[in-house]
Amino acid sequence: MRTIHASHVALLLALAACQNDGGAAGSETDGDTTGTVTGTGTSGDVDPTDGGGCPSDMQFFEARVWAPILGTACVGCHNFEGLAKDSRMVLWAESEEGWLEHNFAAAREVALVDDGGVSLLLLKPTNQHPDMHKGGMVVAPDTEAYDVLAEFVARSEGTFSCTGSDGEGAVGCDGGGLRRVRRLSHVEYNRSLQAVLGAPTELGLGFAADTVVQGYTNNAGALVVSGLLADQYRDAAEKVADLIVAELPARLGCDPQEIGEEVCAHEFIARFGKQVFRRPLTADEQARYRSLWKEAAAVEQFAGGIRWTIAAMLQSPGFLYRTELGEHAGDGVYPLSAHELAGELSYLIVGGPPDDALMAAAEDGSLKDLEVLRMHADRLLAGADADATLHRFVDEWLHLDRLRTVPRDATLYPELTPQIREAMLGETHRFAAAVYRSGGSLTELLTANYSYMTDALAMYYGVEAGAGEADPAGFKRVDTGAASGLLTHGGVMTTHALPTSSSPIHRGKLVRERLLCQEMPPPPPALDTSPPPVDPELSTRDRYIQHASEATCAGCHSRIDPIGFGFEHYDAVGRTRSMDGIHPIDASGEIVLTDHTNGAFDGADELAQLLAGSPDVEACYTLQWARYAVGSDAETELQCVQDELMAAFVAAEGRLDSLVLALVGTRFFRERGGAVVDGGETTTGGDPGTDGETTTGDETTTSGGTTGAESGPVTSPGIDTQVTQDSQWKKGECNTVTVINTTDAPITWQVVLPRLGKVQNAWSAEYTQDGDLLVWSGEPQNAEVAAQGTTSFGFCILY
Amino acid sequence: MSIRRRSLLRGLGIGLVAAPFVNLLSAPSSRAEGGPVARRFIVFFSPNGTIPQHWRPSGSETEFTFPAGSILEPLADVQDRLIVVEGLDFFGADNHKGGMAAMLTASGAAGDESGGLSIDQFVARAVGGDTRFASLEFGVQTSLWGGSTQTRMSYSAPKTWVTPDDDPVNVYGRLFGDLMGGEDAAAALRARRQRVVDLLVDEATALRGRLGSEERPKLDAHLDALAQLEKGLSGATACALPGAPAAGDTQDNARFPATTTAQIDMMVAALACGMTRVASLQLSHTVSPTVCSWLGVSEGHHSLSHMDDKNLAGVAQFVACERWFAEQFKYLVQKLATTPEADMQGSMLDNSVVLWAKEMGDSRMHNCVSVPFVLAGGAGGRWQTGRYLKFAGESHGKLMVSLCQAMGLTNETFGNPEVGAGPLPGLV
Repeated sequence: MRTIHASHVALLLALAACQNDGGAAGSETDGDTTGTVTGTGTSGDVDPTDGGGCPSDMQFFEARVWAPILGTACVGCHNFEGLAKDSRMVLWAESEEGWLEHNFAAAREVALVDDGGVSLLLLKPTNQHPDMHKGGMVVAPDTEAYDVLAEFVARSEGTFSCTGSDGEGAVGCDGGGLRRVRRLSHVEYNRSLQAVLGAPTELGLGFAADTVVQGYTNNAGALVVSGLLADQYRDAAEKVADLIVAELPARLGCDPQEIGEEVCAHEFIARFGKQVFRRPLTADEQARYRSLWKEAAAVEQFAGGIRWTIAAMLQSPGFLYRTELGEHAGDGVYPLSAHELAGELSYLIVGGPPDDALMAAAEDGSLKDLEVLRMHADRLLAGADADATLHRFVDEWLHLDRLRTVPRDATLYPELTPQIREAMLGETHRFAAAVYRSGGSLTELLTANYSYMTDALAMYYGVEAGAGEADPAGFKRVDTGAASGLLTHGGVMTTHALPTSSSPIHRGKLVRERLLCQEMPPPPPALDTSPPPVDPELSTRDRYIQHASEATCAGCHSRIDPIGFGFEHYDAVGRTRSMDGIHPIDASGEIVLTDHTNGAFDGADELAQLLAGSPDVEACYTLQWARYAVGSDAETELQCVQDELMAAFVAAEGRLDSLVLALVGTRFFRERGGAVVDGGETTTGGDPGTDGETTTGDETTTSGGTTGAESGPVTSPGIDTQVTQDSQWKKGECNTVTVINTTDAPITWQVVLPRLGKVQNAWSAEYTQDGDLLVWSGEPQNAEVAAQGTTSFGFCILY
Repeated sequence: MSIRRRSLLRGLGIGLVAAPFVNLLSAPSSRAEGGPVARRFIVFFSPNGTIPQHWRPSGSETEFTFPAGSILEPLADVQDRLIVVEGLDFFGADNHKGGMAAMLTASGAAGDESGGLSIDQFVARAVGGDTRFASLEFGVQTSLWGGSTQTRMSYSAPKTWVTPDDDPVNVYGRLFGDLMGGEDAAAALRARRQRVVDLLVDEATALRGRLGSEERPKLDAHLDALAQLEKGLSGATACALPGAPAAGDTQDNARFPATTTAQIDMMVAALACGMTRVASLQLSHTVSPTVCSWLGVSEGHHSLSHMDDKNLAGVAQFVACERWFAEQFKYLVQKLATTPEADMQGSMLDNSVVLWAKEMGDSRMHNCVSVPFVLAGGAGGRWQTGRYLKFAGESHGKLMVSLCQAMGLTNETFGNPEVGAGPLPGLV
């Protein structure tokens, strides 16, 4: 069993759980929602361990079992009146006196029921019990939530010990973050392509959609190159190469007639390559492109060679990935190279490659000086290019990337033209940028009484057009007559509504998930969630109030709907209204079950006031921005920056731009490595040197049957192995072993290698020790290697 | 140089990923066992479950009809080419997202026989070695919300999705673009592209060598992608070109029907000239917001899927949308039926297996009990079609085993082996 220190849980993540996944009134949910409880972050900011020790069973239950799991995913059915009222586990609501003690005892009792060697508390929520679980699978195996339940079972059985689990499962930023590569998001790719081309293009924007994590499209862990994408990269690279070759004499930077074709081509490769790769090419890389040019030019002349050189560079990992690998500075610490820093800063702020000034600061190494780095951050923030990155954050944070396509009934809402949708997006972008650039705060973002509209949009909303000067696209500052800032923008209200009506569920869920950072679970299966028929006698509000009347629905919908009601003055296409059909609007509502944001309100202005003043929202905004800026959803990584970001944000009284500068100042932004994180990392580092590339080390090939002595284990006959040393340092080394079946029949292989030290970790194989030998065999998925096939495994050792 | 590169590709990229399936790759002879087999496998998906009483045929296994006004009624013309399957459950999966994940994987994990792959990818691994593409994935508005468990159905490894291409213009360029030039020009182009891929493999391998074990899977995936790219460069053989699809906003709800037609046309054309033997068409995704506005429907499909029986108007709109999806399935089936095989041995449909899959049973219940399936095609004469099979809670993994075996594979389980092994009884 995996044990996890509660003290290491990221405390910023207020991860309650109740989420409408296709809820009773047919809401459409995010693409990124979680159907089962996977996280176990504590709710609120109380460290249950009093500063890092081992939590008591009761503390553990409250913070790790109750708050994120039982109290959200289970209590909806497992209560006095719920669907599971006759089950073995009946829980009390938090409003009941003695709820904690009662629920602790009830859960413990279930934990102690053993069914075929496994606790009922593990069988039921995972729906693995022979009698099934009427609520379906609410906790998936292999998740943190499952591990938490398993730990609770072990604690109940008395088999759990807080000691002896050092390292394993530990969550933290001891290692200063993972040395990694990030594939450019499509937006970043497109901007990078534009920089190379020196002209606008949209070639990257039509690529097959990437995996979206928590709403964000730049998640470093999720972005990989697929076969389809590799083909789309190829296509775009060839098109751009054609465009550049069409301007060739001017783009070359040298005259092939004057200095010779080969010399000129080599100059071009070095200069253009540096622009594309955002760093000088290594000697190996130069050699590769020189040879490609030479071969292609031999057939297609000088320009043809240049064309294929460009096309290859634009498909190269050097262009498609940003590296955060650093250069080893001792003690396992890897400060990022100056060129890596330039890229990191530039993509953070302007979403594209470094400009000339930044490249110069990388060339002379001055960028490694924190003050110089900050100076460039300020400079880039002040430039117009920073807007696009901010716009994208707002779009992904509030899901406005769906505004252009969210379906709306054209008969009911003919006024919502594509032009109006576009103007709505422009409004939110301009407003957010204006607040940001004027040093405005989160409070201003959420409560401002002004916005930016074209005259057509103002007319659409029915507000007075602005009096001031219009920007080039026709937007003017306008008094909105409301004090609800961003949230009641037409784009936000339209995106979060249904084709024919407003949707308190969508809008309430937006606030819960994106401003309070509380994820909502889907409604339990096998529960008929059909909404009542549309009844013209009832207002939208009254129809949705039906949710609250049923106990099984109320568990979640009491968190969602009463917030959504606050937006009822805004119709499905973002216009204000005073009537819902024949019904006067009632926009009163309430926020419940938060740490610091609870309260009743009437209308969006008052709702906005509640949110704007709340530390919950401040923390959530910081988290959302961190997910976007760091391009990660991993607690381990976000934890490297959260505390510093939060402190800076609070100190700056919620100034939006303070987060960027705070992030740039963190150690995480400038260094990687430092200590072992979850095994393997520091041992595989090696020193890549300053040329940015190392060879893959020595390779040795042995044949099956020849390594063993007369007795003892031998490598399976017919198996050849190729051992590649991936890295070596003073105290150890890491190797990849390719297992090659040279025969025409499948072999369940065994490979025998000398034991050079203590095995620190291994992957894709298991080993046993036999004297000075290690006997390796595959894991279930690669234990057998096909006829003429290969597989591989790897390991690291300490001498 | 080139030899080393290829062995690296095998060892690092494909080898790692394909390791669990290599026994399939090397066993083509075993495909002949166990009766006739199909040449190709096609998956067709439409979202948000069903309303069973409006979907269910009436009658017995061989004597059945689609009631007037029911969802499957549009398929009456091709009824004798179908096998309608009712009463299969996704074990251990529930709800939109769970159903989407389990639909084609049968909840398999890395250690299972199916390796956690979706059936299309599992079959492609076994039969896709000698075609230009191991598989092709076509989509219609699958990606408005980006890639996620809700919006993807095809898995090349646990937690690894295969992204469908939603843009018919992109698809056309990728599949048929090279056919526009002459043969010699195309061959020269391919040679040059091949040379670039060689360089890219060297660069990706070099970067991979600098990474720790956590990050290497990214470059392994990249190397695998380059291997696929390389394979795609080779041999676009003489194909009957489908009409070039019209450019336009593929995300525009109103273009849903036009995009669907274009994708089906290109899918059949690609299959007809042997570019691949495995293809899928994914229409939207679970929790689909698509509005069947072209039918006069005004609510989103997901909202409609949760309408109570008492809501007659809402249910009628849902059924209207579902009948439209049935018509698209029929269009695909008829297109295959009217396209002769290149060797003139029957129609494409005779030698194909087409699976219409959904991710839930009764959508109002948010569960994956009695999930509806429709099969089409004779699988090379393996199956008696024109039948209606009713089960009482069999695992849909058994249907997957039947489909694998119809493609000549020999696996006895698919997905979670705990809930049953062997093919679906009665489906012979």
